[in-house]
Amino acid sequence: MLHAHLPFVRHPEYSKFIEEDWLNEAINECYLPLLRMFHKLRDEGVPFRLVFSISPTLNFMLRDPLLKERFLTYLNSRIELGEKEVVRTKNSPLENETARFYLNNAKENLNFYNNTCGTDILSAFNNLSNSGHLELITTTATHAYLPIYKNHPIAVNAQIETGIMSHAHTIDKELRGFWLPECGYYPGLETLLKRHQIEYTSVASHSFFLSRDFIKNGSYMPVKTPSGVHFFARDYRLTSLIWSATEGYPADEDYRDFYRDIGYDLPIEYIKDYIADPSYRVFTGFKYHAITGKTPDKRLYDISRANKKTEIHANNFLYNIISTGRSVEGNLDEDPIYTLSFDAELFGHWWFEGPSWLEKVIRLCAEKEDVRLTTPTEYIRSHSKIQTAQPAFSSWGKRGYSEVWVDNSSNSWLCKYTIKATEWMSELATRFPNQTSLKKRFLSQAARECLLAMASDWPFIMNNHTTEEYAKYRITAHLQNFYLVYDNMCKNAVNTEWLVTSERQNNIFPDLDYNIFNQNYLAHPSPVYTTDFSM
Amino acid sequence: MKLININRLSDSELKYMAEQEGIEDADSLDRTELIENLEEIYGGDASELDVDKKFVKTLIAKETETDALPGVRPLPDKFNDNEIQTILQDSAWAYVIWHISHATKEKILRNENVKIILRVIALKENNKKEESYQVEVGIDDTTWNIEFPWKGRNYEITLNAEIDGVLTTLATSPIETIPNVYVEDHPEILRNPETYKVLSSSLITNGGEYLAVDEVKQILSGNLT
Repeated sequence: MLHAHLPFVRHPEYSKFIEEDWLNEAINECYLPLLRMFHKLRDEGVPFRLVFSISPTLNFMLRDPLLKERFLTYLNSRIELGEKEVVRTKNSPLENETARFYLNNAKENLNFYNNTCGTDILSAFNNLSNSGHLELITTTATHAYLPIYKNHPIAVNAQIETGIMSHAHTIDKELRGFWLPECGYYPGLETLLKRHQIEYTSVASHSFFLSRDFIKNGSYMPVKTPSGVHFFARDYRLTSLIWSATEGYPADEDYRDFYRDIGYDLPIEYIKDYIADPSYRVFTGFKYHAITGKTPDKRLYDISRANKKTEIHANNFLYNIISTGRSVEGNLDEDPIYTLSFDAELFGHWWFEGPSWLEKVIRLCAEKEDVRLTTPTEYIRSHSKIQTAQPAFSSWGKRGYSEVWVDNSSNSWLCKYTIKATEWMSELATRFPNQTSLKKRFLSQAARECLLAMASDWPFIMNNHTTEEYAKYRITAHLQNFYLVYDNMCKNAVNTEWLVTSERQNNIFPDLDYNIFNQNYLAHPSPVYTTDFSM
Repeated sequence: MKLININRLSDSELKYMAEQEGIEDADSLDRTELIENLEEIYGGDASELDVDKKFVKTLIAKETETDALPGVRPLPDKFNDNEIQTILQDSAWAYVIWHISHATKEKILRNENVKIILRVIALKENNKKEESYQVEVGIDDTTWNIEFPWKGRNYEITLNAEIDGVLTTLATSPIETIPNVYVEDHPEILRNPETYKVLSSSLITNGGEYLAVDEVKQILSGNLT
């Protein structure tokens, strides 16, 4: 399972905005390389099945005309910089080979984006879904970490339902699975998933081990809750082969170093035309050094050497899967299934060789008789005897629960505001149901701002102290926007200047109906999801 | 993780495993040495793990000065109602947030001998009160970390003003359930080596590092076979 997500970042009020490059980098380094690899494997007839989760914020940004136009500008600038780099590195064979690789990669991405995708990346995902190679799923509207809102089911449902709506309007096939942001689960959440006909989700490794029930097959088989939703527990040991900072494959000394980048190494005059703001150095994506080890003296990156390592690591991964199977053989009800879930952005951005490694793993699985890639849907369809049990509260965050998002220092203060916003949004929707015209737009924009304030990304960033100021700005702005509507509605007023500006800026989920927050909403049946491509 | 039946594996299987585990000169090792080396790897110390390797950790932001939209105001420091909310941080601790309205605060501060008390109440199955403990907090506090000490119970927290020894409840939190953990309550389950292997092997890395969840570590390390 690969989960692709980026927070909603869109700043039409600026001609260039550094944080919008988060999306550009992810498309260029992760999504397009992965899609090209999947299409190549399919064209060669290599059988595979994967689950690919696309968050609603990413889904929207991939289709937004402004961001698409800005991505093309970004990609063309990578090609231009690549051409300069091929000339600059002509006397250094290893660097030159890497520069040519970057240039070709950007050109192939551009070709794939224009000609195969028709500038619509979701169409390429749909294509793979329709051929049965990818099972596309989604997650909550703005990637809200749900255990924080456990006592506010209206808000949790609004996140789930808006996410599913967004998916249904853009993805051809019926939704069966649902990604829980950060694998954040609490007992009882399944009733809201079931309300939307969700058949399965994935939880953290210890969710089964710490269950109140005896889950006899450990995480080697799924369980279903009494409500009928199936849960697949992530295999910590196998996924650690990739995630571990020290033991994991991506830390291998022959792989490309992420941090050495010409954006920091070369004179600003040389790179200024290829970054959003010449006064501020950023990564360009052109990196020429290998990890080497814990030393500042990095050796030059050697593509062929790294490529050989991906082969060794792909073999090693399969070896570990098979040896795990051997170690539990005879002690399970049936053959084990391993739930391997990762952030999609790991592949290509942070772990440059990730897509190549994944391609080799897929090819090896196709060759071997005793290992097969499958999806939860396929598993559920072919297995009738699945143990009924209740997974435990858990997440895949540090120490296994919620302390990354409620950390007692950098981000806990947000909770009183976000929780109050969800309560007051529910109050507004209940006090002013079924409004029309300007008030409807005003209330729906409040619902949009409320959902955006619930995003897990901002507290996560604050906890990690990475792009903290921007995270604080974003969450504060959404909360202030929401409270403006609340104050105005309490005075039966509409601030039209704010409304017009806010609708233009935070334009996600254009068909969102604020009535979804009405306190009585859950008493009604869930909506029927239809395809109309407007959301 | 421990491999079962390592002694039953063929020499070529052992050599292949040794290569995959990065053992140098695996070809030159005899069977006993191969097994010793492999057992050492499976039982060896693990290095620190970082499971938070996220895209956003590698991103760059400029901290651009961005104007607020027309008409917005700073976030309020406090909210004007009596309310208490709980957010579970892990399986035993909750982050508790409360508000006391201006009117209530004004009223209770008219008295000299005032305390603000959080009362943590463990409930029986029928939600009848069973055991409780209290935490005194400051009049201007709005958050606290509260422990739910017993598993298999429901809890509620009340926000109270104690005036001259008389407790008045201002707000009551939603009920939080702290369920039992089966393998903790039935340690005999994990004493069976086969069951231990099935339940634990996906939670321990090749280097022997437990998943970094305190309860998992405690339960597994207390039941090592």
